[in-house]
Amino acid sequence: MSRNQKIIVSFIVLFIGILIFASEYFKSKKIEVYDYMNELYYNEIVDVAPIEELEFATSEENNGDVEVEDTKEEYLDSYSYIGYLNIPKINFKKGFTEISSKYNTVSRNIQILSTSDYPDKENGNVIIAAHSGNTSVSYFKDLYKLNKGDFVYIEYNNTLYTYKIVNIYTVNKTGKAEIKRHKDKSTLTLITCTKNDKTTQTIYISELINKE
Amino acid sequence: MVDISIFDKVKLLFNFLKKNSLIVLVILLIGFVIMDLIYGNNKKGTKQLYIVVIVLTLIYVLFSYYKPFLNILDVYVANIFRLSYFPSIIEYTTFILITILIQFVSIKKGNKLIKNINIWVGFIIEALFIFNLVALNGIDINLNNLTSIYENNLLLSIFQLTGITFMIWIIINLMILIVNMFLSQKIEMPKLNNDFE
Repeated sequence: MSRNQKIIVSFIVLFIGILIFASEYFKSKKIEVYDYMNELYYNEIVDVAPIEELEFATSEENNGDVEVEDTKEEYLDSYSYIGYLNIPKINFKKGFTEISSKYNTVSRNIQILSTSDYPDKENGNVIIAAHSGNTSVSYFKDLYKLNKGDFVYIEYNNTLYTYKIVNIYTVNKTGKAEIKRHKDKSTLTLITCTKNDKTTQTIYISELINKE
Repeated sequence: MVDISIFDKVKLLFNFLKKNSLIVLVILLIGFVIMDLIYGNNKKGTKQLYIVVIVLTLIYVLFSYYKPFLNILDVYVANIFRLSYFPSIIEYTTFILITILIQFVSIKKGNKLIKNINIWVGFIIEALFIFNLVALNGIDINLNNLTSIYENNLLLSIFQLTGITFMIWIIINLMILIVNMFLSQKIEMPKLNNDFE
C-alpha cells in the first residue's frame, strides 16, 4: 500500500469512527431539531383576558388593578347562553355566551377568548378563561384540583363534547399565553391564575375524545 | 437590544480586556511569534520552538475555555441538522445557487471522479428543485412560514431530500479537499534537471 493510499484509508477509518462514536449524539441532535419544529408548529401565542386570582378586599385594599363588575344588578338569563362548560370533578357547571356578547367577559362570567373557536370546529381550539380566588366571579377557583386524565364536558348545539385533560402547565402573566397543543386534534384550553401565585397563569389543555 | 456606538463598543472591549489581561498577553505572544515566523530570518531550531509555543498556547486556550468552545460546536452541529432537515426558503435557494456554482467550477477543473460526483449530485439536487417548483405550483403556501411548508408532507420530503443530499455532498467534498491537502504535502515532486540536452 502506497503512502497516499494509507492516508486516504486513515481518513476514511477516522471518519467512520467519528460517525460510530458520535452516532448517539447525532441522533439526539436530530430529535432536538424535530422538537424545535414541532414546538413552532404546535405552539401558538394567544392574547389572554386580564384574569387574576381575586380575593374579597376592602375598598382600601383594592387599588383598582382589577375591575370586577357588580353582577347583582344585571341578570343573565339562561337563554343568553350558547353552551355550557361542565367539570363534574369540581362540581362546576356554567354557561358561556357568544364571543361578541357583552356578557363574554371574565368580570361577569367565564370568557371565550376572541381567538377561540367554537366546539364544533374540526381541529379547533376552544379557549375559556375565568378568574380564580374567592369572589363571586372567581369561577375557576377550584380548577387547581384538576389533574391530567380528568374529564371536562361542553354542551353546545345539542351535542355533548367530552374532553380529557392531557397537559397542565404554567406561563408567566404577560397578557399573552403560549398554547401547546396538537393542531390535528380538537382541543379545549382552560386558563386561570395559578393558586397563590400572582405572577403566573395555569393552562389546562384537554383533547376531544368523544362527541354525542 | 441596545444600539451601541462604535466608540462605546471599543470602550466596552477595552474594559473587558483590562479584566482579562492574561489572555491579552497570550494573544500578543502568539502575534509576536507569527510575525517573527513570517518576517524574521529564523533558524530551524527557532521555528520548531515557535511552533511548539503556538501549539502549547492553543492547548492552554482550549483547556481554559473548553466549555464555550464545546457550546459553539454543539450549536454548529445542531444548525447543520436544522439546515439539512428544515431549511428555510432562503437557505434552500442558497443550496441551489451553491450547487450550480460547484458544478460550474467542477466542469472547468478537478479530477474525473470528483467531476463526475459533483455534476451528478448537482443534477439530482437541481432535479429536486424542479420537482419542488411543480409541487409548489399546485398549492397555496406561505413560503415565509416554516410550519406552513413543513406541514405539507410532499414539500417536507423534497426539502429534506435536498437538504440531506446537499449536506452529505458538501461534507464529502470538504473531506476530499482536506485529504488532498495532506496528499499534496506528502507527494515529492520529481527533480527537474536540464541534463537531457
